Amino acid sequence: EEAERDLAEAKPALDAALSALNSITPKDIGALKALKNPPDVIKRIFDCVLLLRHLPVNKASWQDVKGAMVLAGTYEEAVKMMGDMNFLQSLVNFPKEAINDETVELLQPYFAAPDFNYDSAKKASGNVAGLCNWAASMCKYHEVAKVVEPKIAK
Amino acid sequence: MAAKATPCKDALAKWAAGPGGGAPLDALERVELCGLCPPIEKMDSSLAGLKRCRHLALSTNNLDKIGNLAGLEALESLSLGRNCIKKLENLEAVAGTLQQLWVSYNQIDRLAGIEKCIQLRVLYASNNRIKDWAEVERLAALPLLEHLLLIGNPLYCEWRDNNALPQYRVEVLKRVPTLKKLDGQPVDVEEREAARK
Repeated sequence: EEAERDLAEAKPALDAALSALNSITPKDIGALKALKNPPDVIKRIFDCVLLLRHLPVNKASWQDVKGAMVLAGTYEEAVKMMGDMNFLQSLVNFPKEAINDETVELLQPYFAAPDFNYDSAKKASGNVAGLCNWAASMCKYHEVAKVVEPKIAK
Repeated sequence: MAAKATPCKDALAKWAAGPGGGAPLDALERVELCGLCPPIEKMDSSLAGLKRCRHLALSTNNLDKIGNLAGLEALESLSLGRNCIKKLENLEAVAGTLQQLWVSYNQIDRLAGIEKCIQLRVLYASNNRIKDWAEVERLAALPLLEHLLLIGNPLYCEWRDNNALPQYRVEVLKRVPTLKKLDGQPVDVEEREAARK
């Protein structure tokens, strides 16, 4: 029962992730691809998606964005990723059980930036900000599942 | 203008001071010096004070070498992902205790040096430069290895681009039969069977 209770705790995170994805349409992605230089926070959100999917990101480098030092995004890889017609669907079907502790750790420096949240991303670039919640929810799911799985195994 | 690098010693002192402050280095069990700005560029001798440290994380920095691990007598997991490391060197000092090595997003092309880490259960090495089966074969020396991540290495990409990932998985299992999880996915009975043939 304890395991079930813990899993129930992860449910809101998963629901949030799904609704975050459902708020994004192929049209939003198309509009984003048309931008030569999207807002910085959007580039960083896409880095989180790249890391979760084990796709390439550049060597860590830092830049000043509105007075805060933040990691620089690897946007050329993000554009490649968006070129896949099934991009959004692949996130809906993302194998969240395959997330590991290392990946969650690699995402933390992004989450630490003061502007890395849904509201500021939404202001900067509309619906694709949902990816910010999606990435955070994936990490949250992993942290909960890690505690629950050994209990289920017993 | 910001300094070019954060000295490892300074990052460590700051972590030890913590929000509450005052923990001596040799009492810390978990040390996370991840994503520092400016990045850490060198693992220096200050690490030797971490006598009881079980998890040391230095991911998302700018390290080009592994070193100065002597003295970390209790180290079980070492996290060095997203740096500029080229080889797995100087791991001898922790080879007797190390169970998890996380080195994804580096520039490692050879796994030489891993053979001594006979307690290793987990190796995450995605997005490096491993391109030959000879490197995977080195992992056969690790009797406890259960989890392996090689996504994004040239070897993996070659098989993926040929739509041959199922065969790739069998090829890895032939060389490392102890694996329970490969590239995040559990190894199943059929794969194990195919690898035995």
